[in-house]
Amino acid sequence: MNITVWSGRGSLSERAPLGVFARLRPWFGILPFAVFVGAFLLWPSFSVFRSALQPVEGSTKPAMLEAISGQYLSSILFSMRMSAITATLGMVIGTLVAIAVVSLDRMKGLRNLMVGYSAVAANLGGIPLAFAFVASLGMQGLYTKMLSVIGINLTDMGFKISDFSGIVIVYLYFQIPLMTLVMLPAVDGLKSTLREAASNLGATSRQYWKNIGIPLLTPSLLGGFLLLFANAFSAYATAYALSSRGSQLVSVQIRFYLQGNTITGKSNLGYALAAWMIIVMIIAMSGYLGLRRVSERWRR
Amino acid sequence: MKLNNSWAKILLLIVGAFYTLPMLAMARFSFQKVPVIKLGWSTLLKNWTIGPMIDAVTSARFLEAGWLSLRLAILSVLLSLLILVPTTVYVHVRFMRARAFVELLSILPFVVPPIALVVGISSAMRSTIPSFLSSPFSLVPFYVVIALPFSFRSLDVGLSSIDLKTLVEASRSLGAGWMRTVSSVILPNIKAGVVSASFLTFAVVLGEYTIASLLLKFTLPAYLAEAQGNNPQGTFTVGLLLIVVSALLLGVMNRITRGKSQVVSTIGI
Amino acid sequence: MKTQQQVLKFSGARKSYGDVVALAGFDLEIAKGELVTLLGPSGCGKTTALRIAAGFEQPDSGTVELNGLDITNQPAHKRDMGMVFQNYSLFPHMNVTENVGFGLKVRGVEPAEREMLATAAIDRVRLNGLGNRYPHQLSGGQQQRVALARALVFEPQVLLLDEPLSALDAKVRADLRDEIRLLQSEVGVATIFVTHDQDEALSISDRICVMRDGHVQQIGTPRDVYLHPANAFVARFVGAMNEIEINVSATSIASIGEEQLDLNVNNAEGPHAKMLLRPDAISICQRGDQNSLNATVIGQHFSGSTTMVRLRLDHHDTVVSALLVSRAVNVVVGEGVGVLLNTHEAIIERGND
Repeated sequence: MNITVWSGRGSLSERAPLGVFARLRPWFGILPFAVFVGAFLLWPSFSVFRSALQPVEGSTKPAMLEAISGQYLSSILFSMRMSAITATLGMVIGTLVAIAVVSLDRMKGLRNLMVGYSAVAANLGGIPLAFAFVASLGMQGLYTKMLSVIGINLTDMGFKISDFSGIVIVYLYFQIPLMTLVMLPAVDGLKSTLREAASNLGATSRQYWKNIGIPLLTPSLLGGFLLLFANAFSAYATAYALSSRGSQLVSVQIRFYLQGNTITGKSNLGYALAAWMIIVMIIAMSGYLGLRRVSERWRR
Repeated sequence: MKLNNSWAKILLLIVGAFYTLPMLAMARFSFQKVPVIKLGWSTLLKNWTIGPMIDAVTSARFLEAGWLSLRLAILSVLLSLLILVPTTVYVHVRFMRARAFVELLSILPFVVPPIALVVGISSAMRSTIPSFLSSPFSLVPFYVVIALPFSFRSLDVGLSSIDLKTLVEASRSLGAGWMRTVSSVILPNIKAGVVSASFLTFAVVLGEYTIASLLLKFTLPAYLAEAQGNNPQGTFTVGLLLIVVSALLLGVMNRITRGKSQVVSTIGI
Repeated sequence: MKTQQQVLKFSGARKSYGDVVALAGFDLEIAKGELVTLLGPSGCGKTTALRIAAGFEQPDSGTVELNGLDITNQPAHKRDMGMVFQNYSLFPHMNVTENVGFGLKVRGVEPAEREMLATAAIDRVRLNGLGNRYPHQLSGGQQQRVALARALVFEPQVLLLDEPLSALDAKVRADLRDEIRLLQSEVGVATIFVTHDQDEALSISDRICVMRDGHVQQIGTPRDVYLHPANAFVARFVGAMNEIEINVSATSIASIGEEQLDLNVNNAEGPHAKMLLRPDAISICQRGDQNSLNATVIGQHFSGSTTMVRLRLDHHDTVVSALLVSRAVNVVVGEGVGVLLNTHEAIIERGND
């Protein structure tokens, strides 16, 4: 039998000192992957920015600056408002759900059920979700009818599933489970022994929360908020399906500007909005990742 | 961290209701041919039928969209694995220093919302390689990109959770070459990761609407948008079907990874 | 010892969880400066007793007194005690100085003074200069020292240690064990130490309280408990024990197989009794010496100054271990020798008939 001799630079054994080219060689292994991501993600993204930096027809300002002025700014702010509201509500409710699940840890299988379900629900969205809510709370919705039977007439109250509050409710369907998944490890980390240690050292309940509980949860709370914000901000399909006309969300507006781009001549504005979307996402996601690193360090 | 048990149970019941009620309403609409206005105690059990569903799933448009979605999903899974398995194995076995960089690349898709990506795709490729975009299969690489955070993470977690260094050293010291080591030792041990990556990618592709619709490809979600006018009930059943299939995929995946204590983050990050 | 001030006193403390009796009628007094170890296997009640002292559990009946005051129903955060946990329980988001100073902070000590006291405590546990580090940057042993400093900095009445060494490596464990004892006696605080490791208990305690299934088996100094165990359980749990089956006649003659020994113990009449004997109560002599048993050497385990010699008794299928000073050992494996049992120190466990 031949025993293969152990060899090779960059393998699990020790490496000898290398020259420049040899030092670069290992990177060739990930080249296919990098090229793939470059071609199908980075190239289109750069293209967005390239068009966004060009002026809109009939103007000298780059489209990106135009996009944040006057009337165009409103759709960005509208999306941000919508995202912030669903993120806040999702953060609060999702955290409470996580706390509830951890409190009931004696109930066998409950946690697995919640995690499993949250995993599905967090990824749900788009048209099927819109359908489900139209069937529930739309004009001809099942629960609209049921509520009117007991005296709560949604239509008279001016509620429409395609309105702001309707979209918020639909978004919560995936925002809450997403926050639950983010917060479960954080709430776990609030082990009872920390509470006992604090108590033994003399801390009252309030002192515990102020000095230990809330500070420990804060990075995950903030990080979760940012993640939910980013998630809502980038959503398109659900909003589009709920109210294809007149929606002020940035994602849907982009489509409007680019649909008849040869006619309106404002296509660069669409690219500009897309570029701003990307920038907002970069900020939000970096914040989330940074905060997540802090909380993971604390959980050893 | 404890909440009063009763409050906890009440909260979970309310949230549980919020999660299930819409689906129930959707099912009722799909399978009961009674308009909401006429719905009452007397009509509650009348006219349940799978007629509209049959119409929908046998319709030419559905079959066309379903067939395309299926092929796109399978191809996306294959392309994902083709690119990611060698890359992740290579990184873990020979080049851990690059792991952070590769991980960064894998979460970049998160910062580019699909709507932004698709307009970028149009702008970049329509002029340079128009013929590429005209094929419906042009969606495949973009779907791989969108699913990247999920699929990379699955494989990464799978590789991290086995004692790769020791396995490789054992295999090599027993005389196996690299190819043999990879195929007989490494791959069988990351089955759970591969399965998770595949299921997640599959689920992502089935549900993706934004890119498909703006690039004018007729996938299942696009079918949903189109068909809701003429056969709302049937279309809703297809929507329900999509939800059920995704749920099954994620549920099975959860089962598999839990057994191997390789918990994959289903949010990809 | 009785003249010393009694700091902590348990009187008849009882705790049950459903049908399971975790602690049955627990009585114990701990003096100022004294280190008492609660020793026993899992489920013996030692942790329950500690948690009752800390205030994390309430006894079903019985009382706990601190310096004469009944604190049975006093909430945990009002008791003036410092506790060290098995898994350190350091606050991950605070650095070492902030962790140590936390007890002072909730007692209203000003930041400047807090910092000074905390730094002094940190120096005392030999972690000088590490005040700015965070728990995740420290080793297990270092974290436990921070926990110790944190528990002692505000000069509590009682120090409670819940298996503080169980999560540490062997070498770290031994070092820290001695440091804890040193610190504890310097500070002079009444201490309860909970462990299942009898080596730890024997080496650092003023007194040991051996427990089993919620009941106290024996309370005494390490020497007492080792040399004069109150019953067979304590004898077996603390230190190694040889077990030899014997039959005892009415006249206190013990028969081991066919050989007979003059047993100086009463009350043990009956067949199938067990004689428990420490390895250091067995010595080797020539075959045929008076009152000796014939045996064959089957192994030796050299540990430096002492050697454990294993012998099989010829006329009885029993293996015993004799702990001898290495210099005195001059037998080889396979050799036939005589074995002398110091039956004065034996514990006879009655057979179950």
